[in-house]
Amino acid sequence: MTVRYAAADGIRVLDFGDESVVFNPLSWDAHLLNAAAAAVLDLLAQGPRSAGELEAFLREALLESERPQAAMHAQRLLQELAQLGLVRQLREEAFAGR
Amino acid sequence: MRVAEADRAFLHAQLAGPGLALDFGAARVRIRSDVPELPPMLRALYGGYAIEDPAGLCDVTVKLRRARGLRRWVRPQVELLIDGGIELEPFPRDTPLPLLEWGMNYALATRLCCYLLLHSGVVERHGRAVLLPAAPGSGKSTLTAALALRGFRLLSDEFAVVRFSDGQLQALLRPVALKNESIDVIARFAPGAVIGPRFPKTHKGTVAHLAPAAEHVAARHAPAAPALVVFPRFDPSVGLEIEPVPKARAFARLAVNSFNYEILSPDGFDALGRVVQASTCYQLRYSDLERAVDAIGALLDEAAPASARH
Amino acid sequence: MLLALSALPAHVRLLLQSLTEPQRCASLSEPAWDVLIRAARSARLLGVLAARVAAAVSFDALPEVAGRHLVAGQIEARFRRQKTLFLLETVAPQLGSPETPRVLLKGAAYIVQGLSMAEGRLPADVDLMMPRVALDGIERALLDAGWQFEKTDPYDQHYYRAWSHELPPMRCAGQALELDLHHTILPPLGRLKPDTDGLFAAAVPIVGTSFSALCPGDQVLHAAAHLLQDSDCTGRLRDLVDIDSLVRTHATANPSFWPALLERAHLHHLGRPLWYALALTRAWLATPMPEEVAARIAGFSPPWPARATLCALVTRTLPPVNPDGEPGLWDRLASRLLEARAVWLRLPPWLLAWHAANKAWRAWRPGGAS
Repeated sequence: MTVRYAAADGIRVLDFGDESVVFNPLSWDAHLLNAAAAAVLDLLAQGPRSAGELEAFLREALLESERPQAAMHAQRLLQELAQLGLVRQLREEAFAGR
Repeated sequence: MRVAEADRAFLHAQLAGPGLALDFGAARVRIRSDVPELPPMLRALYGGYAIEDPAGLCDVTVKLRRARGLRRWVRPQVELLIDGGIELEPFPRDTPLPLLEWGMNYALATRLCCYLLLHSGVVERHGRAVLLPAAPGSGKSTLTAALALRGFRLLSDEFAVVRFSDGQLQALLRPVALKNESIDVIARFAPGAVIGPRFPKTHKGTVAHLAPAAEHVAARHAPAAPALVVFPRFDPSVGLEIEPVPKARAFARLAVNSFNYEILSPDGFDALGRVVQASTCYQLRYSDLERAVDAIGALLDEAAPASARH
Repeated sequence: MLLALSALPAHVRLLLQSLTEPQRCASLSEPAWDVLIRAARSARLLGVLAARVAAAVSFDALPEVAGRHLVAGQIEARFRRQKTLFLLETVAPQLGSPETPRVLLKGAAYIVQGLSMAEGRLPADVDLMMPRVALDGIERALLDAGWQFEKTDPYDQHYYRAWSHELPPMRCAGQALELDLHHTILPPLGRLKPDTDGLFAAAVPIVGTSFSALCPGDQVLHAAAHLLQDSDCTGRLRDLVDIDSLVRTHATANPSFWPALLERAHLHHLGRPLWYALALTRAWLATPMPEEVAARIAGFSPPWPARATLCALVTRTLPPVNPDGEPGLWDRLASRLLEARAVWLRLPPWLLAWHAANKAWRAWRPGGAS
């Protein structure tokens, strides 16, 4: 079974470069996000992604020296975004032999 | 007829009866009162305002009255009622105007959810507005007053009123509340300025009010486009220090310092976003008022107009 | 006549008529709008008025100032609605197994059920009823998740747990509303004892959620009992508006609503508060009721002295104060009397004496009242 992540519906993002302000459509709170988090959220708003795809995406953005930690960064980001209610998990059955 | 042209008896009768209705720009307020000392204070500070029809529709109605019962005679007090209820602590009888002013602020802040209300001074020049968000010790009111006395049009010293429809700012023009040393500072800064009576015993120290200039009263319905946000900080140890504030941080500071941002989400989020996107944002530490005023003028001139930015 | 509309002050008649016939607002004068908006706001009915007017008339056709205050009312209600949904979404994991009934009460129920009467309301908190045996575990789970009790004074805690139908209100950082956990709908030691098992048994699941709501008859009875047995009625016209809305909503949707309501009133011994509630809503809000139902409800009518007294008192206290005036001496007295009545109904006499003494002691002791 693949676990994919999607941005919550109704998110609004104000992109101010280094930091973004995000509107949380459930709590109606606003959150300050750093560039990496905003980029991940932007990607997820375009369509659901798996953790692996997000890790690859982040690895591109990180400095050479930080790339080995890409998986850890991705996991932590997803956890924090999920806790804030900005991202949710989709559990889907793997499509086998269709 | 303007308030300055009305005689004391007329004002007294209006206040005691149908109310004195005034238009501050973004809102109309009806004032009722039985405090005999009030009419001359209102003449001094609201002289340039037209007396509106008291039977018309007002946004807020306040009643400043002498306390009932024991408190009418023993350590006498005045009370402020909003629509039949008392929501603020009473004041001593000799401090009626500050209670009226704070009461109107409270009533407006809680009832005008049709606009985004930021806790900020606002002045404008050539249609482009400067927001001066409040924080304790910021000297926001002093700086707002100083700008208004040096060629900027005053919209408000307390409320940045943001319209949802187009993100423009509207005036909620009232006298500027000055406290303690800043009363003398402003009196020296502009010797011709009309400053009302001093009230020494308020919980914020001595309070006096600066009357808005006649031309600002006349212009109070003209909107202004947000262009500059300056977070002021009065600091006697510093000459003048200007530091850019990242916009995301400015958003957060403005949101936290708003009267109704939270309740208005998501419209509040969008409206505040428009203000921040349209503005350049700075922190200003200052000790000298003239230098601060000049610096803000220069920053406003530098701030690119919205259409010129990507 | 006991509850004649004509006996009510002009500002109250204007508010009631605007709620029941919102299309008439299109022709209101500016002075009338001024009074109406202020009275509606005082009564915490501005959002409800706005919702009803919006369904009848475009705000563009109204004076600008009127329109912007109606909008303000809608905005405040919208905030409360979203915060209710957010709270429920957040606490759902702490409410134990989904098999344990989670019955939403009052405003939270109307919102989650998607009833149109929810529009414009201003719920102050989220009321949730669960079986008493489940509450200890849920309380622990909530405390672990960062919820805290509003009142921490040991006496207050004891009062709630031993004598009340609810736990002390709980708050959590990041939540704008309080959570009130109930195990029944009226104080358990009070004079009227509804059938709590019956409440749970008849509760109706809300499709698409893990929550349920009281059945239609019980919703009306709860609203009536809450107003007339558990409150001092002061400034609570909005509760009457809710009762009228509930009756209209459920009577339209359920052909068996009226017989079921009467049956439930007998089951829960809540006929008396129902009589008062419907007498008030029929008189003031023109609640439609079939004649045969009115005849049967008359059977719950209290004796004349009680009827006359209570109707006189609530007539003074339920509506909002005149926005250009303030509560008069008789109004304040009526409020005090109804407050005393609410306490009297909540606790048996011996406990009342103890509670009063304790309250007095706590107010006078060196630490002061909490």
